[in-house]
This record gives sequence, C-alpha cells and structure tokens, in this order.
Amino acid sequence: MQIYSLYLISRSGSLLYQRDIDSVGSPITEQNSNDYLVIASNLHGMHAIASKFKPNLSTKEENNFNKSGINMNSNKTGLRCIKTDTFNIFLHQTVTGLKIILITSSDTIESEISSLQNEIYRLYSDYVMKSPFYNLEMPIRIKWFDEVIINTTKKYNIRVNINTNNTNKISTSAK
Amino acid sequence: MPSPTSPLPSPGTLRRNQNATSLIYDKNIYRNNKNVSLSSLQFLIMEIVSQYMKNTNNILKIERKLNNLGYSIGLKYLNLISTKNNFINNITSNGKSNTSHRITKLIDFLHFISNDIWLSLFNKSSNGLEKSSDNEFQFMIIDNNPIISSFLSPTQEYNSLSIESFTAGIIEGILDTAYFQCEVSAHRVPIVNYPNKTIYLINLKQ
Amino acid sequence: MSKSVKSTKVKGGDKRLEQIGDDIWKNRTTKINNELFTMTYGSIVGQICREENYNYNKVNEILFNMGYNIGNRLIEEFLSISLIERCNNFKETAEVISKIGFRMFLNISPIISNWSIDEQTFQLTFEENPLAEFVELPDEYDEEEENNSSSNIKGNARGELWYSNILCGVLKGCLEMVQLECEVWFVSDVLRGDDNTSIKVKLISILRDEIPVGDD
Repeated sequence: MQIYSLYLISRSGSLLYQRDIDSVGSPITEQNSNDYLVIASNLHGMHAIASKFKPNLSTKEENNFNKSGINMNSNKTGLRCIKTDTFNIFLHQTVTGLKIILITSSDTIESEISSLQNEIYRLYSDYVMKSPFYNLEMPIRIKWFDEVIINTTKKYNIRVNINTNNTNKISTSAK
Repeated sequence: MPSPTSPLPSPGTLRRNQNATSLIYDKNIYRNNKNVSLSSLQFLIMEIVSQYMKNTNNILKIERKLNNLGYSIGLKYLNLISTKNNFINNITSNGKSNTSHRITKLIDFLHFISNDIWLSLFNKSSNGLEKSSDNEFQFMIIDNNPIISSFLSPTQEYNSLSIESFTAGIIEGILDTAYFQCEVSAHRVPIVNYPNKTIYLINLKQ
Repeated sequence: MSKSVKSTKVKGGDKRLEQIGDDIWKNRTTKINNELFTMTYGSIVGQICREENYNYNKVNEILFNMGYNIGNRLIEEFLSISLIERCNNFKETAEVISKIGFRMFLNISPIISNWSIDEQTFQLTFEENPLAEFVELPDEYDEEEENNSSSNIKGNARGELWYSNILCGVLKGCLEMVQLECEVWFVSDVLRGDDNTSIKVKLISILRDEIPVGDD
C-alpha cells in the first residue's frame, strides 16, 4: 500500500493543503499548482453531487453514547471512495466539514486508511489550529506540519508494505 | 500537624471578609495538585499572540508583551513555590519552624530554576544550565522541547518571533523577586530531532 | 435563577459518556499543573484590564471574542480526540459538552440543570473553575489606591467583570463550527459573591444550510 498524495479541503470547498507524499510508482504525475486547485474543486463538487443520489435509507437513531471511539467519518451520503485499477481516492469528512482526501495505490487496506485519516486530523488540530500565524480558511503553509505529515504517512507506507510483502511471500510459498 | 497558615490578607480584604470570595483564604494551597490539559494553555497562548498580532506586526513588540505576561507570573510564582516548599519541609521536620533557607548564591538559584521550577511548571527538568564562556554575567538555560510552543511552527513572516519569550518572562520575574536583576530572552536554535530547541539567555545586570 | 441544581439523566447514556470522558482524560491528553494555567489566564486578564483602562464591559467583550476564536479551533481537537459524531439533539449536546468537552480540557464536568420547557436552553454550573482558582476581584476603591494619583481604576470589577467570560466565547465558537448557533452568557459567578458559578446556553437555530454536504 502506498499513499501518493494528500488534500485538505475546507468546508466551503477551498483547497487548504496539498502534498505529494510518495511519487515512486505513482500513476499521478506531478501537476502544477493550478491543477491541484482544479482537482480539489472537482472532488468537492463530485462529493456534493453524489450525496444527491443517496438511496432513501431509513436512518437508525443512534446516539453518541454508542458510537464514539469508532471511525468518525461524518461523510455518510457523499462520495467516499473512488476505485480504479491503478489508484484509489478516499474522502473523509469531519463534523466541521473539513475533507481529508487521500490518493493511494489500488491495494489499500481500508482500516489503515481511516486510521491514517484520523491521525492526520489530530496533526491538523495540533499544528494548524494552535498556530497563531494561521488564519482559518487560508492555505496552510506551516513547516512543521509538512514534516509531521510526511513522516506519518511514510510510516504507513513502510509498515503496510512490510505486511503486504509478508502476505505475498506466504501466498507464493503456499502455491 | 499544624494547620497551614493562610496568606496574610490585606486590610482591604479584611473589610470584606464576610464575602463569598474570601472563601479562597480557607482553601488549602498545598494540596492543590490538580491538572488541566496542556492544550488549554496552548490555545490560550495561541489566542493572546494573535491578539497582539492584530495590533502590531513588530516582532520585538510582540515578544515584549509576551515577556510582560510571563513576568507577572514569575513575580508571584517564586512566592507560591517557596511557601509550598516551606510547608513540605515543615512536615518532614516534625512541625519545626521554617527549615528551608533562602538560596542566595546565584548558581544555586539558577539550578533551582532549571530543575525545581521547571519541574513544577512543565513537569520536567530543563536540558541544561550553562555559563557563557565570554561573559561572566551571562547564563543559559536549555530546553530541547519547550512544551508551551511545541506545536508553534515558525513561519516565514514571523521566523524570528519566539513564543517562548513568555517563559523567558517567567524566569525574569522569578530572578527579579530574588533580587538578581536581569533580562531574559528566548532564542530558538533548531537541531536534528529538536526543531524547537530553545535557549533562555539570562543577562544579569552588573 | 437557579433554585435547585440537579443533574439530568439522558436515557442511561449518561454513564457511558462519563466513561468516554474519563478515558480521554486519563489516556489521551497531556496534562500540566493547573497553577501555570490559572496564572497565565490571570495575567492575560490583568493585561487586558490595564490596556482597556479598567473598562470592564470592554474587557468582558474582549475575553468573549478571544474565547470565540479559540472555540473555532479547539473544536477540531475535541473532535479529533473524542471521535464523536454529530449529536442527535440538544440534550445530547449538553451532555457531551459537560462530560467530554470540559473534562477533556479542564478536567471538570459542570452540572447540567434548568432545562427550559422547549429544551433549547440549559445551565452549566461549575463546582470548581480552574480559570479562577484563588482569584479575588476588587469590589471597591481601595483607600491607598484612591490616594494614589497615578491609579486609574475606574470600574467596579466585582459588579461588572465576568472574569471567566472566555468560557462563553469558547462554547459559542465550538458550537457554531458544528452548525449550532447559540447564545452563551454568564448568569452568576462566585467571584462576584454569588452562590455559584453558572453559564446559560441557548440554542438559537441549527444552521442547516451550513451542515457539510453528505452528513445527514
């Protein structure tokens, strides 16, 4: 599993942050900054459109006493995931409307993705929200945030790669 | 065990002794070991700095105000911690009167700050106390990871602004109450693994 | 004003929230001694009072606005640590504020009481307030101060200052970020000589248009 890039989009749809994490083997070539804006606004729009197509589910009344502590993706009826042969896109939305979007390789483990998304949210609340130099809704240019984001996501890349390598080995030896 | 004496009330407070607020004099300051989240303090500092930044973008002015904020804490803090220490000493010495002594030697006092004060303020000791090699009135307290500013990444615009001027102000206030007149400033000296390593430079008035 | 202070139970879920708050406080927060926090806040209030020339109405407003800005940001930490989802009703919101929010940041759980009949207004009563430990407000001109010509104390702090008004701002700022427009104000404070310290929270409206798409 590889994480190729990360997008943070604000509630109003503006691109707050974009970072290419791992370009090795990435099918997504480097874009110019304008393209990043286009990608972000398209994802934001597709997410909104998808929510209009929601099936009419009878929503279960479930209160917070039961559901805390699990995955907190408040993106319930919007676009959550796009899967292709070469890459996947995962959209996570917080209760405040921040979208955490990951572009990954196609062999992703979804539980890992959501735990990474939660970790990114933690980092955002520490390094971005606690900075007096950052104004809300503005693009994030914070050096330490870059560093911790890269380190955290790379940790996922490596860790999961070891796991997948192991399982590959097992499956080949079984053959 | 003798009951702890409450701090001396001022004449003004004696007058309104019947008021509800005077209850604070009955509270035990020695047993008050409660905690709050570090985040709460960090958010408070974040907000006060952005308030300062609304009025000025002069880095020196902002640092000055942070220093003042810390200074007024330092003035009170030495009294608080020494009262507490006296109390603890009193217990261990079977209720005999004040056994703790005032630290009068500068070096001892700086050690007291970099260990005891640091521990009570930040739950850890500092990472070192050094004497300047070229100026005998200059000392440095080193902290590899100061907790108040641990998430406050420098930005291009405010690269040289040190939020730790706040802590520097606390140290200055404490030293001043102990009659070691000085100026304390905070400087970030990033090294590998410690991007927020900070040196508190203490310049004593000669 | 409050006559009797009693806690409200929400369908037995009360305990569960308490446990979540407990767990977060014990395992997922970095803690510091509250002396530094209390003194820092005191120092900030003092600085503002001096700068505003002891115009306490102005000070109240500044503290509230500071809290509001903090709330706008603090909510993200609250959500990212608690991993809690949108509340179903305002009663649940109240419980979450007290049992998880206040617990997580200040290690207190104010008592919820005095629900209005329409369930849009409740009261939070603080048995302890880490912002104001060992704080006393001056209630009148001190004689020495009066004689001192350089003194410029104008207002009456005990009558006019809401010392912890920042809390109201934080609550308003937080709730607004989850699309609950509220009014939050102090009704009493022991620092003013009242029997207890209480805040009222009133839901004005749910900003439905602003609820992020896909979250319903």
